[in-house]
Amino acid sequence: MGYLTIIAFFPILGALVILFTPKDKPLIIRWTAVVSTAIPFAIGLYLWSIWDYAMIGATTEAGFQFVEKVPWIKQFNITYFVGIDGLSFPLILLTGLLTFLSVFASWGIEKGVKGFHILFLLLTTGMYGTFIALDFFLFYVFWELMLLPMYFLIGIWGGPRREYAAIKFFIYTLIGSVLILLGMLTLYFTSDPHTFNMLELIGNAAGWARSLQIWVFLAFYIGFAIKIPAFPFHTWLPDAHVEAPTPISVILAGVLLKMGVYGLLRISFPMLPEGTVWFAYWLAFIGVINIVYGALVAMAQSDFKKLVAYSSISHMGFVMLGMASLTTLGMNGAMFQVISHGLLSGGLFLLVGIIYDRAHHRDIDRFGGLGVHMPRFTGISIVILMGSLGLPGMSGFIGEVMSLLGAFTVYRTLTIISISGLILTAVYILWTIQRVYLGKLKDEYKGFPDVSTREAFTLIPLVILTIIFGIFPGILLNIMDKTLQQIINVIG
Amino acid sequence: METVESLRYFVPELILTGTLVLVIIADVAMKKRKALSAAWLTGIGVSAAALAALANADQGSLLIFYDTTAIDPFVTFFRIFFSVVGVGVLVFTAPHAADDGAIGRRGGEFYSLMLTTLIGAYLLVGAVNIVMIFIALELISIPSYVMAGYFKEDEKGSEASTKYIIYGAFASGAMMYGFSLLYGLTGHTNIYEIGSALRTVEPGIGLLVAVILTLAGAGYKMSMVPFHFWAPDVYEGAPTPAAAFFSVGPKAAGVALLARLVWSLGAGPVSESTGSWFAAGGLSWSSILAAFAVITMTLGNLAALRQTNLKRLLAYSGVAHAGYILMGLAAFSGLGLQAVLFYLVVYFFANLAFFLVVDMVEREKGTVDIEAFAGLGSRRPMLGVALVIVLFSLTGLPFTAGFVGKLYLLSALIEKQLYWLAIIGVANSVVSLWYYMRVAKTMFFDEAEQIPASSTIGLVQPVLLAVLVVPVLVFGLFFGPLIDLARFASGLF
Repeated sequence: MGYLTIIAFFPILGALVILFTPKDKPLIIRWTAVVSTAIPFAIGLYLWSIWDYAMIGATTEAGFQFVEKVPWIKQFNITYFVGIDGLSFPLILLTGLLTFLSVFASWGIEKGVKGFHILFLLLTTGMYGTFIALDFFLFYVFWELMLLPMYFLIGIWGGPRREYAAIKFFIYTLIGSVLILLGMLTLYFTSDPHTFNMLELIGNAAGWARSLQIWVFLAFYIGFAIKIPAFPFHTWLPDAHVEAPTPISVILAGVLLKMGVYGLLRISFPMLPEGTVWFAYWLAFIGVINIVYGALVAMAQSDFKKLVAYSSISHMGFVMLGMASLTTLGMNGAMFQVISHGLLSGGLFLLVGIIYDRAHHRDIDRFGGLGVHMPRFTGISIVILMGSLGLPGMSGFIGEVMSLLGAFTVYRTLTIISISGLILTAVYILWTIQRVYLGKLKDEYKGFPDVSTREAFTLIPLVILTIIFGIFPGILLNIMDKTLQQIINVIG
Repeated sequence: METVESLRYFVPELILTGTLVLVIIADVAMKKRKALSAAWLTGIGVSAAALAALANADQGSLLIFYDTTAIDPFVTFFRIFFSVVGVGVLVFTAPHAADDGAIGRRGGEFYSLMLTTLIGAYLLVGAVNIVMIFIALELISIPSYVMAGYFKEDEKGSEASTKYIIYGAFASGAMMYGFSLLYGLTGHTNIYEIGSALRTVEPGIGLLVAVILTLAGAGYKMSMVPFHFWAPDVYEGAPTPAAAFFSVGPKAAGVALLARLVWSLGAGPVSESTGSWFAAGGLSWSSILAAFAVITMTLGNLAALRQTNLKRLLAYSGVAHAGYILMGLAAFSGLGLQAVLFYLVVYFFANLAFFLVVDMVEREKGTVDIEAFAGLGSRRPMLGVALVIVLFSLTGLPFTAGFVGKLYLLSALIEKQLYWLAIIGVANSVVSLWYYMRVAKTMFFDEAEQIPASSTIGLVQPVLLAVLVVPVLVFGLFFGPLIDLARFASGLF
């Protein structure tokens, strides 16, 4: 059994242990979950230490690392085929970190501890699996495996409108999934011999008619766009985010949104090069809508969590714009932004969760002067918010600037419009800082405890990493660059 | 083949008939535990029939009883399938079979009826002569009417039975009329001969009418729209085990009949299993079936959205699944037929399991309204989890067998480039998610008003539930053997 299989299935093992742990021992359950997420993360870090930076990946099996390939359903030519390259590896690490931290962020959950952690670990397996799968069928199974736990995690442990949010999330995502399924089957029957092997499908791509590529690209695009979420498929996100419990929001924003980007880069781009070229302009166009529209709507929010949710939509716009440029710079920027946003939005949702735990509301206008009562919390908050704003020296800046520079050479007008998004982002973030942390002291927030050790433990790694990646972006870019370059080469 | 010679290939049906006689005698002879002994006898007979069918599984393809009945892998598949259905339903009835139970208070009656239906189903899947088809279909129908009205004191039971009879009579009549037209057009009673003759018949309105009327009989059994109106009332009024039986037994018989009809009339004998079927009589069989598929699944799903009574919900969901199955036939290919057989198997496991949970809740709470399910997830977590798996399978989500079934059906459509039908199919899956998840939501998100004092569920049904749910998961991930089975069953015709 290889490293990747252990990474993907270890959480399920933990879930089984929890299943047989008595309900009245929440601490054992929590620590089992800690171990079950820590070990895959640790293996991920170990793989980093033995990572071969020379291997390219993306299109050929030889370019992937830690490959495992076992026949699964011979009748349909389905294999258990996993492996990672520069595109998936950073996401594996991100998943490892965020799931590990989220378990600690779940400490406050009292209701149904057992069920929560079982579902959470199932979700973790789904996420890892999606990133390691190189067989389309396997990818799809993992992709959908995430739906079940997510539905229940939002629906049972969510806020007041949780049922609505949960089913909305489920239906939106399922609509996307079934389109991916149809596209997948179409490619299966078009390829010769019929195969679900993604790399063989990529090898087949040259022979596919342009119209076929465009139709399948559109089917995949809608499926992935719902996850990103790209305008106009974004409406599930604010509901899901607002109603989900804090750790689930972290995972949703930090990892699940990235699935859409990952799907486009892993599948749509190399598998359907002509479709990609045909759609690239529109991808950039929608990206710009995301940036500007997301920022404008974020500005109008009074619910802190909703603000963060819309800021996610805005930030994912930069990713789409960078990807659509089909330049090395833009693609690297997009993937960098993916990781950066994973860290920052995770941090933001943790912050909102911490305030909500104390104040039991998230109305920005009712806060004020928290800086006096909770100085440490405010310090961390301002660093994360500034990272989100795109302050130079932090990861958000690198991702956004690289995406914009990459896009500028290709889509001049669109890029100029999207710059306004940067200004709007500064406006809503600074305004939020002013209203929540500065301003008039309010007595009702007196005596709020500052961040606890556990809370600080979940936040500090994110803060440190955004700064490290902001100063030394090469750490990540070195992993990703060759793979992304290869994807561009395939598109030609 | 002559009668005496044919009997050799007819052993499973003979065993069932013998068992039926024994069940009736036992019912008269026994004083107590009539139902239980009938159930045991039936179980033994049905299992023996399956074993007999299995023992002769490799005899290839031949016609017996003066070419009125076919014996081929397709028949073998369904013989075993119906036996499994029979045993499943028998175990299902166990808590009702006590002398004062819902079923047991009338002695062994229920089991003799069920056994008769099974004999009909056994005969129907092999019938290739229109008279034989009609007799077999009636043999399924008539005992079904009685089973539907088993609670004759209850208004709903009588209503169920009456509706079933009226629609059944109508559908049988329509089918008979269709057969008579086909006979008039071709002069044959064997459907294969009719099929070959049809290839030279000029297409026309007469043929179209004949075909659609012929489909009515099979469509009625599998609750195809517009022949589905009986389903909700019958499911609601009949004893739950009977409704469960209707939803998997006679329904599968209807599917088998339809497949055989489409196969023989539309395509004529084909040797290769994966080859396409050509359209006899110039009719676009694929389009006719696709049209039925679209209205059946869409209407079924839309109607299910509004149901709060779980048995009615199951009825409409059953209609929707009939629509999915029709998609496989509409693909009009070997792959499509394999997909249909595969789908029937996974549908059997999931649907019977769903009924089983409904029955347990009904016994505990006395109602099958969706509110009875509130808090089931916290009250009986294992039951809740099992039902969620089943619901996922019925929706067609991965790592359950239902997903593979849908995938198989969609594959068949996409292979034939019926993209539009595939899109309607997946859109329907999304719609179905809404009502299936509403059940899951009620179980896990809603709090129960009161917690019943003591457990009345017993042990038999939970064990059966586990036996049904495990394959749903196993076939979701390791479905290779089931594909081989479907390929075998559709191999020779």
